Parts: sequence; structure tokens; C-alpha cells
Amino acid sequence: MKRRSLLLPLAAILSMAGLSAQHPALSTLIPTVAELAGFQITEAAQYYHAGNLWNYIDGGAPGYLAYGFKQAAAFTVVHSADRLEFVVDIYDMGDALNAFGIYSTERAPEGTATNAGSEGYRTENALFFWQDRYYVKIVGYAAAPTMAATSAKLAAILSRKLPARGSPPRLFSAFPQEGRVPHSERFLARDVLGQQFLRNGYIVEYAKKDGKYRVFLIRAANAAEARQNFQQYRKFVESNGAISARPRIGEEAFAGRASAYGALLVARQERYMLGVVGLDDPDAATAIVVAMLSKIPESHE
Amino acid sequence: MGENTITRKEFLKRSTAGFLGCSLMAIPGGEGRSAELRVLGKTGIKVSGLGFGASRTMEQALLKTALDAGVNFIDTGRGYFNGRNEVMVGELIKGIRKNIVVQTKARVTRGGGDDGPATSQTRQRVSETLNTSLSQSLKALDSDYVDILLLHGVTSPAILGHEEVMSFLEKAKKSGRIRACGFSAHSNQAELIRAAVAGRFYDVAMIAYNHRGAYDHSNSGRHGEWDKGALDAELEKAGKAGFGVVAMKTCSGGPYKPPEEAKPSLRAAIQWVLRHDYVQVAAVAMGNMEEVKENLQVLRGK
Repeated sequence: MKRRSLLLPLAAILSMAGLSAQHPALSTLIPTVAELAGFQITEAAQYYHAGNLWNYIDGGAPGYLAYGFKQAAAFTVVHSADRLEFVVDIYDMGDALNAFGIYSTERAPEGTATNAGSEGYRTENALFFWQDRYYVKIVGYAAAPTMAATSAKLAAILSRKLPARGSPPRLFSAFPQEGRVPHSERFLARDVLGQQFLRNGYIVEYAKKDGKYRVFLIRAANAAEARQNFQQYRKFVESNGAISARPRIGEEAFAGRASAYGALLVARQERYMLGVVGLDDPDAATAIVVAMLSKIPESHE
Repeated sequence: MGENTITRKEFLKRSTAGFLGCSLMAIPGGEGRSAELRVLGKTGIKVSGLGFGASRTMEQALLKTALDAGVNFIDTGRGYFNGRNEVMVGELIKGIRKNIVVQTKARVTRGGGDDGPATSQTRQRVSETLNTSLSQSLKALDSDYVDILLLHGVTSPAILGHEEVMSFLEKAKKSGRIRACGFSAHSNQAELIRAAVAGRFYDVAMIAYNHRGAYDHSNSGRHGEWDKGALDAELEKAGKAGFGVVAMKTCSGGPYKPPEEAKPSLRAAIQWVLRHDYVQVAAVAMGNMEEVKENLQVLRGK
């Protein structure tokens, strides 16, 4: 595989983009030979920006760009003891919320939790974590008996080079705990519930007898935008299903069904639009939304 | 699909010898006929003209809406959302798997390398990489087979003739883990199609194709273009050889205005693609319900 030096173009692009000097360039986050004790870089870092991320991850690029992707570095290391080889990707997503966002959309709920970074987990041949504004992937070529230990060792080295780890967005504390599917929290930068006009949504999955339902919370820029979103979504439900009730929850609310979504309960209060999708028990759905509304004021700051 | 047992040497010999000619497949096509199922090349796989490109969404409601409307072709990839995209697809098609055509992708190269695995060490690892990728895809899709496995983002014919790649794909077919194989490409498309058709090993290609002969991706500004004459000439030959073609970037050339319509539209852009008999599927990436609704008009011939 050819490796071309993109350092000069990258520097020019970073300069044009006006990236803040207080955020370290990705090259400084790649461990040095001394720091990589036990590992050796076999393919030097290649750098990507918004204009050429396609060259690296092809059709996966739009998803990253939607989360404010800034730049990425990819390099290959081999572990001297067991000869396991890993491709390491470090994505700079601009801020912690976006780093969590792209991490959350890709997270495998069945993954095994590790201590790496924030919410690190591993699969049979890879390890993933986010930390501050960075999303890190460590991918091996195949499963191996020492994969877990070796990838964890590498993750620890990489994590030490990054700013302090963070916590998941605090708005998730407004969601109910009961029935929550572990590791199902997601932040969606756009197309929340598949709607072009809904952005910046927090979604959590819950277990029910015959499957799952979802609880969502969307924070708009202000109450006027939230009101517009609410009305537009109500129109969507009206034209793709039916409104069955207008319960007195928050400042405005409706219950109904929409094709491909099932039962819905949606409410709005101030800049927040929230609701339950796919839960056929209206009382339970109402209780969830009411409880969340009572928690939002203290949890969103 | 049963005639694909050839060596790398034979593949390269055929690739460089040019088009050899095969029997013409009767492929339905033409505007307003996209709701009909078409046969994808010589694979025997029947597909809807409009395919659901799942790469931009994790929202099952979008896919469900498309499937309910008659779409039976889903394009996904191991690399999309770190494999979660395949999980999303797999959960939704549970119980209807046999009615759905699933195309997914495995990446051999990383970092845009144009020749595929370059060192002897990585050559030895190719089968392992592809095998891991396919195994993970099958697990994610909760299926014991994928209909079409594509090599993701191929840029040079060299990888198509790669011994380990071909050997892996041949074994995967024989074992029933895949029904057909091919590649996706955004550049160098005419040369790749020519090589694949002449090599007679691969069944399908997914290529950028639209009325403009170029695409500007709405999210990233990524630009690509091709020699329309050269690509069309290869696609004509591909169609006659029974080589399957899935078009992508069908809307990324912008809206199209047919002579009989007053306004340009993306729906017309998809229909323009499907008017070409050598294209069997327009796999349109759909990220929200507005796009799904507009694209589904193609199925209804509106």
C-alpha cells in the first residue's frame, strides 16, 4: 500500500481552516517510539481531512462529516511479542459531543467494556473508545488469543496522549433507567427519527416484551425552533398515520401512530421536543415523558 | 456463476485480451418499468430497479418504508457505521430474508492504496481479512449468506486479479456464503469494467453513474467525473456479456429534466439511469424520509 506524505498539504489546510492552536495537531498525538514500548509503527501515519476522508473510508465518510469531522490520522503498528498488527485511526471530531456522537452510532452494544478512554469496548478483533474530542479505533486483522490484552495495552498508550476523558452527555440522565438497553444511548447530529428537519437528538432504546421501543429528546436552539419542529413532525404523522389524542403534557403534545414507526407520544416544552416511539402502552409512555420533563431543567446544563 | 473457476493468470490474460463476447441477457428496463424485478446480470438474482442505499442511515423506519413500497435490494457495507448498518438491516429483514437481496462490501485495501495488497506479508493476510469481514457481515446480518459481496472501493484492475482475493471469493461461493461477487468503484470505472467483463470471474460492479457524467457529493463536496463515452461503451459490452451493474451516485449529478417534463428532478435523474438496460439497479443512498418518499416515486412511475 502506498503511503504518501500529506503533511505539507495538511498543514496548509489546517491553516486555511483556522484550526485553533490550543488543539494539538494529530501528529503530536501519535505516540513516539519510546512511548510505544512493545509496539513498532510499521506504516507511518497518513492524514485525512474533510476533502479526502472518502479516500480512506469511502461511503462511511458522510456519517463522520455530519458530526463535524475535522481530521484523522491512520497508522499501523505491530506488537513485538505476539506480532499482532493493528490499524489505528484517530478521528478529531471537533468537540466531545460530536466524538461521542459518531462513537455512539457505531458502538456495538454487545462489545466487552474496557478501561480505555471514555466508554471503551472491544470486539473479537478491535477496540474502540472516545476521549475528549477524539474517537479512536484499534482494528486487528483477525481474532487472536492475545487480542484483548494487546489491544488494551495499545489503547492505554494512545489514551495517555489525549486530553482527559469525558462523560456521556448529561442530557441522558433525564432518560429513564428502567428497561434501558445497555450502551444504546446515541446522539444524532441530523435526521433524527429519519426526519430531515430534526437535528441534535438524543435517543435511547428500551426493552419491551416483543422487542424494543425508543425514547428521544431533541434540544433545539430556542423555543421557536422547537415549536416549528414539533408542528412539522405532527404534520408528518398526520399524513403518514393518524393523531389519536392531544394530551396535556408540557406546552403541547400529541399521541398517534405513523407508518413504519408504530405508536408515538410526542411533547414539547420550551426548546425541548421529546417522546416515545414504538410503545403501545399510552399510560407508560405518558409517565416516561412527564418524568423526563421534570428532569430536563437540572440536567441540561 | 458456475463458470468462474479461473486462475489469476487466466483472469489477467482475459482482461488484457479485451472483450470476448457472451450471450445477450434479456434484461427488463426503461422508464416506468423500474417497479418490475430485473435479473442482475447472469446471477439469476432478481432485483427491484430502485435499491435502498443504507450507508447514510440507521433509521429502520426509512428502510421499512422502502421495502413496504416494493424495494427488494439493499446496499450496505461492513464499513458503514462500523458494521452497525448491517445489524440494522439484519434486524429488519428477519423473517423476510429470502425476499430481500442484500449486497454488502468487504475492504481489502486501506488508505486508498491503488494496487491492493502490496507486500508478501499483506498478501498472506488477504484471505484472513476477507474471511473475517464476511464472517462479521453474516453475523451482523443474522444470515447464513449474502447475495452479493463486493470488494469495497477498488481503483485498479490489479486487485481484481489478485490470486488470494479470487480464491477467497470462489470458496465463499462454493460454500454458499455468497451468491455473487463483484466490486465497487468511484474512479477508473471503464477500465475496471473492461477488465472484469473480460476476466469473466466477477458478476457485478457498483459504479458511479448518472446523467451528468460527474458527481458532487452533497455532504462532503467530493467530486468525481468520468468519460461518458468510454464508460457507456464498456457498459454496453458488460450488458451483452450478462455482467450485472448497480449504479450509485445516481442523484449526485443533480436533478435531471426530461424533455417531456417541465421541471428537473432527482426522481427523473434516477429514471434516466434506469433507462439504460445495462444498469439493473439504482442504489440510491437515502438519509431521511423526505428522500425516501421522493425516490419511491420511481417505483410508481411518477
